[in-house]
Amino acid sequence: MNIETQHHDNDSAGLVLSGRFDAFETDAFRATIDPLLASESTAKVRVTMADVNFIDSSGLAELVRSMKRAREAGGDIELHNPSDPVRVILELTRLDLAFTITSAE
Amino acid sequence: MTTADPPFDALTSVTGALVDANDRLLELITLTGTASTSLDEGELLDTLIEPTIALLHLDGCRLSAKIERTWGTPPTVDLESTAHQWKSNRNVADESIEMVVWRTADPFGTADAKLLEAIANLAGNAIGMARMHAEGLAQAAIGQEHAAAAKLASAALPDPLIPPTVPHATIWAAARPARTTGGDLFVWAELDNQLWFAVGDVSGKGLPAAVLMTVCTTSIETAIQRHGEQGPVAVLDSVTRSTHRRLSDAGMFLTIALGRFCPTTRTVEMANHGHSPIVFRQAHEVRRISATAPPIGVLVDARAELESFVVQPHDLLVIATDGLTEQIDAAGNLFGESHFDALVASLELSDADHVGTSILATVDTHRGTTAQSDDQTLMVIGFHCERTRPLLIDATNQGVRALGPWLSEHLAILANGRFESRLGEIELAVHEIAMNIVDHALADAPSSRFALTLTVDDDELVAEFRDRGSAFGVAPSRPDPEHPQVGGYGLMIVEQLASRIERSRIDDLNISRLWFSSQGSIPAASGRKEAHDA
Repeated sequence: MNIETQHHDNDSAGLVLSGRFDAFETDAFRATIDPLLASESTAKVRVTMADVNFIDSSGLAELVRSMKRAREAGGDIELHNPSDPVRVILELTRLDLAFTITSAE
Repeated sequence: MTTADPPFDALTSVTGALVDANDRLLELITLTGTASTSLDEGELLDTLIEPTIALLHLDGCRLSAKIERTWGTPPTVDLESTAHQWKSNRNVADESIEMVVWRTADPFGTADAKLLEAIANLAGNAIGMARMHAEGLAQAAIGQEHAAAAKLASAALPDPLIPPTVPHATIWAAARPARTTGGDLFVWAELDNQLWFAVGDVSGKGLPAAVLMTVCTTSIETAIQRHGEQGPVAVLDSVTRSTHRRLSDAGMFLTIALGRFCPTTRTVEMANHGHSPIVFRQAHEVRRISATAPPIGVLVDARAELESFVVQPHDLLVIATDGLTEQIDAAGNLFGESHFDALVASLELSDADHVGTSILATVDTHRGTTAQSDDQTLMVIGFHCERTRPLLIDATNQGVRALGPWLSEHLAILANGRFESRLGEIELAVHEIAMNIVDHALADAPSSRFALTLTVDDDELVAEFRDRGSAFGVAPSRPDPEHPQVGGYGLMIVEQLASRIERSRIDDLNISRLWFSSQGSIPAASGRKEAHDA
């Protein structure tokens, strides 16, 4: 999986994921998103997932962990433009009701 | 001059006799107690005879059984037929035992004789007990040798957990030896993309049957390699040539059914020398494949006829040995030939391993607590549609990544595009089960591998995992969207994507199967989203 970090102008940051998000990638994802979640200047992290072609329950668990951590700090993560494989797994687990999901304007 | 006092003398005499009798009683109690603490014949007799000599002030004692032993000193004069010698004869375990004691100081009285009779009985029992113990030890040693021989003999058979793989057929076999070694055998092999199989039974029991079983097994395997091209009859002709004399000289014979399955023509060809039962099931109708020649070892020029038939998906071929059909229950009732056929006809299964384990379980239920009376060998071949060769997956997070490309490639070939629209969902479900195996069954064996095969049967795809990890079960969690948990979503996902999930364990093998319907694709993501919004 490729992870690209973006810094926005206001109090938000962004990650753009592409490729395969499975158990083999969770360490790299965590190493990238945790510093953003720990930063006091970042209230929201947008995770763009339009080009994620596969995600499994391990990748999903990593998104849930990040979301809970962000909300505990008063922030949130936003799943932006989830690809079909991401939408499928979110809906199968009813986690589409728990995440903030946004689409391209 | 002092005169004798008769009453006092009598009292002294009686008291002395009582003290003497009491001493004897105490020594006798000691004697009987010590005699039972050893199981060695020599020690046992020493602990019995030596106190006896002291107790009765004997000069000596001689015991004549298989060997003769003497305690004390031999008589210096001939005491035969005098009251100074006492003799007793008895039979113990078909053996004559003579006990002779002698005492020159005093002749033996009636009380002595009764006591000696009791001691002779004790000696006889001691010898009998020691002999039984020694015989038990010898039997145990023989039993251990038989167990070792049975283990060696079973090593000649193929590993039941590694069946050969060919398209359109799955083979399963189990061999359950009885308490003593026997002559059941099975053979399987893949040769030139054809499945070869055989089940046989060397007559008799024990080591001779086991030794000839290994000879026959080797002969069959060699004959398949050398004469397989000419078909099953030629293979069994070769087996006859190489084993007839040895079997005949030993007064034994081999019943054997041998065949091959050609996946290209979906044809089974079989030859049967006196073997039963062989049941072929098609659409829940069963028929027997009968013998066309006597067992090997009876007639040197006997030749079987070839039986050939075309198979369809879901057909079954079941070959057993008579140890299954002749298994008795507590009341002595046989499991029976017709019961066996009815069981094969009635099973709502066509997977070879499920059919096999179900048949064995049914026979075991019939047997109850009764001992297994004979070797039991069972082979099941299930016929089906297309099946892939196994993909061997390294039990690591990275290893599981081999699944995606392999599924994509093989489903395209196997199913001719029928599952194309579900490829992503199938990959996700199969991936989740693979990760369960890595994380749970093989968590302690990261350098091991596990296997995945795909079978397509009409509009149904079956993904089957086999691993030799620990037994495991993971219950699907039911996450609450209001309070989402971090993990545990894997089986919840699989349950919604697969039409059926099944897990079983055979010996040390975990088998996980997922069924997918080509028609069962879940609605498009956007459609589901609308449903949730509504």
